[in-house]
Amino acid sequence: MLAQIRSELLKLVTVRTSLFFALAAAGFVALVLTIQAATAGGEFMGPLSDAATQRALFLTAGAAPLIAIVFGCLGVTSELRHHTIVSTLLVDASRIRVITAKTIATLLAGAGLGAIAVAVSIVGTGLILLVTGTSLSVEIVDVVAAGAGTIGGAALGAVFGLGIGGVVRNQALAVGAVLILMLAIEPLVTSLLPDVGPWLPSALVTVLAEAQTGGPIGLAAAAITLAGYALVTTVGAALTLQHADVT
Amino acid sequence: MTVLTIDHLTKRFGDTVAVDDLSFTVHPGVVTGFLGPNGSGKSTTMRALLGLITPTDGTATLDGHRFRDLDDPALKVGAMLEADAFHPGRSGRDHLRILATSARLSRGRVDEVLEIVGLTDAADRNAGGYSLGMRQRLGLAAALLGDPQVLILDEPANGLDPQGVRWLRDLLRFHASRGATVLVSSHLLAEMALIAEDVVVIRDGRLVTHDRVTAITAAANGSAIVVRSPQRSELATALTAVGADLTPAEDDQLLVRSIDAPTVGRVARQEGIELHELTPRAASLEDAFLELTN
Repeated sequence: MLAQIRSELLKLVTVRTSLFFALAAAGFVALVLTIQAATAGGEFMGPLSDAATQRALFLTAGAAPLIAIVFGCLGVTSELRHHTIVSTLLVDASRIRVITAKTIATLLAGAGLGAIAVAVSIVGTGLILLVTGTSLSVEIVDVVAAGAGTIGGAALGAVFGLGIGGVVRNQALAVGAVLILMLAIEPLVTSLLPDVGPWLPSALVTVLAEAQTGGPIGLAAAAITLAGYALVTTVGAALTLQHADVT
Repeated sequence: MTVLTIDHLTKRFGDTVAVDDLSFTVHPGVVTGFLGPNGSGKSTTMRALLGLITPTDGTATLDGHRFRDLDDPALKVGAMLEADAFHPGRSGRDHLRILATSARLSRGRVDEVLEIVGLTDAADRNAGGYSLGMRQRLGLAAALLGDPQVLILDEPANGLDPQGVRWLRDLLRFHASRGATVLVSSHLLAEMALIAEDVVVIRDGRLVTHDRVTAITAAANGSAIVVRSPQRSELATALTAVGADLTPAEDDQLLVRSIDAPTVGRVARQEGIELHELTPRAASLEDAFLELTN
């Protein structure tokens, strides 16, 4: 199994898509960080010295799990789109092993994507505080919890995306489905069914990435539920691959 | 020494029957050509053999085992099904490294197969920029990675230049001579006639014939004995008497079927007929193929 996981990781690092997503995550965090720092002390943000403002700067990495969902989706559908699944299955005939290795590799890559975003937010926030001569007022443990939540959320989000991609199979449809889910269906469900909304994937990712403790869902429940979503979609992808004719 | 067995294989896609109760066996030590018109079910049969599609009925096995039950398939079976099965943004070398890693093969083996297929110089370029011939070579390199005892290749000569086709011919013959089992489909019938010793011909998913190339071409209508004689009418009478089918041709020629060349020579000598030509002419594999599939 280790060989298959290494092979799947090699697939991810030998195309530019992964680099693009890493740069996109880092760039997005840097951009939001810059905007927030620039508007600190204004109408919408408190001064940089406030713990809440500093926390908001660290939480800019929270977008990484959502980016990771699309990344995971693209990873598996790219294999189907370019028919590399054929050579993969000719080298390892066990489809369950292939999807398991792919899942573990995607979990690690998603965590890596989250770690990059967290690193940029920490380094960026540190630089902003250093340049402005502002002392650190936010609780370190709070930053660590949010960072861990972001990394974990990105890992699970990537696997969730892989599962959706593995079930839908068509790349454009799968990415479209992910975007429609996050940008249209979840907000709609949340507005119509407020009690259900917090249990949807994007909301769970936010709970993890912001290390929310005062909301309707605790960190553990959010992590377990998100892992459940990832597991269900991945099992769906495994069953689809197991029974599909590769033509 | 691996025997490939297709046993009453049937595959339906919805209402379409791609392969219909097909049975044949491919033996080691020879190159077996797999021929059929477009849509005749060749690729479906190969994919069933390689565990990529599930048969509706029947089996496709390697020494009695399904491909999907093999532990290290890359070490036993090398296959190339389509020339474009790679990520266009990944280098040829990385494509092979990924497969080699999964099969627990060394990086050195990647370099070896790149050298074998003549892709070393282009190995670090993105495969999306490869010509069709280079993509075919990359696919062949992937098939050869595990130095397998079985090669299953779908249209491997497509896009290869004449040198490439000759190289492929030598490669397949070399593998067969080592006892490998080689099944190759191709539309290049003249080339197939040079590569393959056995041929399986299918049409509409059904077996048409499975025989030696020489037997198939000899049995085709295009096969005949060309006889030229200044006494053509006397010769025709004498040959008809021994059961020959005759077709008059240009000048003094007769095309003789149903009897062999020694019989023609013996009859001519017995009747004192002068012969200027006595040439057995086999039909081409293309003639035989068209006759079998039309």
